[in-house]
Amino acid sequence: MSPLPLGIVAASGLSAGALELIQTTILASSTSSVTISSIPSTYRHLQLRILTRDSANSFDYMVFRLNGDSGNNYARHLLRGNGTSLFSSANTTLSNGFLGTIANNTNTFSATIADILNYSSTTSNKTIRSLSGQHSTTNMIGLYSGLWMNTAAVNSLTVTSNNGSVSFVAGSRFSLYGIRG
Amino acid sequence: MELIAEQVLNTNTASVTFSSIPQTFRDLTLVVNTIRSTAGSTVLGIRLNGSSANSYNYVAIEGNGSATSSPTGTDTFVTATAVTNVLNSTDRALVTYNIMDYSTNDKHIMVLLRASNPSFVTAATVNRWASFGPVTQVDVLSVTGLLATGSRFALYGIAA
Repeated sequence: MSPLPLGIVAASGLSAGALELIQTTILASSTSSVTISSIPSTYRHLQLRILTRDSANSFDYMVFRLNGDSGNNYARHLLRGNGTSLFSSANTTLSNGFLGTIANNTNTFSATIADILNYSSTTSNKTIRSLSGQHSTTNMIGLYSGLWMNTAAVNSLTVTSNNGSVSFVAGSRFSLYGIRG
Repeated sequence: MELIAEQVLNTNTASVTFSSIPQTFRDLTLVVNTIRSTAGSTVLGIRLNGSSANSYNYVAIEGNGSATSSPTGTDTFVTATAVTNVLNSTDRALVTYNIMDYSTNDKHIMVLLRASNPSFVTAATVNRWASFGPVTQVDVLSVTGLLATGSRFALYGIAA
């Protein structure tokens, strides 16, 4: 067995647990929303790796929706620190889930790694966990846990800013990987 | 994810180097499982491209079982934890560094890491190396003392 990023251990075999690239999107211009669709159902888990910065250089959170669901079907917990203090919060009825933060200074991008576990299951709700941070005009490092209260297999993922008015700058990168079970 | 190189120490040493890193991946993941060779503790750090400049900016969250903190600052290496020591002489630390977009030259290099030393501290840190890539070399070092025989360092490439 081999250790993987964020501690996911391969169940068996050399190929199991390997990160296989599904799609990478690198923005050529600023955009407010990135969608990865037609996600194949052939993996056990997904991992999303993101580098992004805000076009307005203002701090905001990065959020996600699955399968285009905009209903209040998401829950989250977060633990974050800003270099001065720690903060924790929870919400149980949201219209999106939290992935992390968006950096807000020239040359500095936030980094996020998120795991979507058992995404192709049709019998369980979906759990997402992420590690996200930035050292920027606003410093932040956080652990985020999310729940999508839907048993459907995940076939699309949309990432936006939390306030909806912030755009991701050119050069922001969104990479989706599949992890075989 | 593809293994680029792995080093297992057959002697106590102060640092481990991965050089001539191929530029064909998107991100790098460095997995370190190590312990200090003698009693006491130290800080584990990595340097990129051999740079020891005070240009590694960090913010962290950490807890040691009796207190939590969120320190921030600048240092001469990527720190596993900002102000508390990671390694001691009895329990192995496991630290995973994710070096993002390491082969590009259009942004400062970001490193996300998780550090676990079961008898000492658990932490998550984001580091911004205030320099542009590409990253061609990674050095792992113990600030004081040596890394013990049997310590394992594995560098992986994440597909581009």
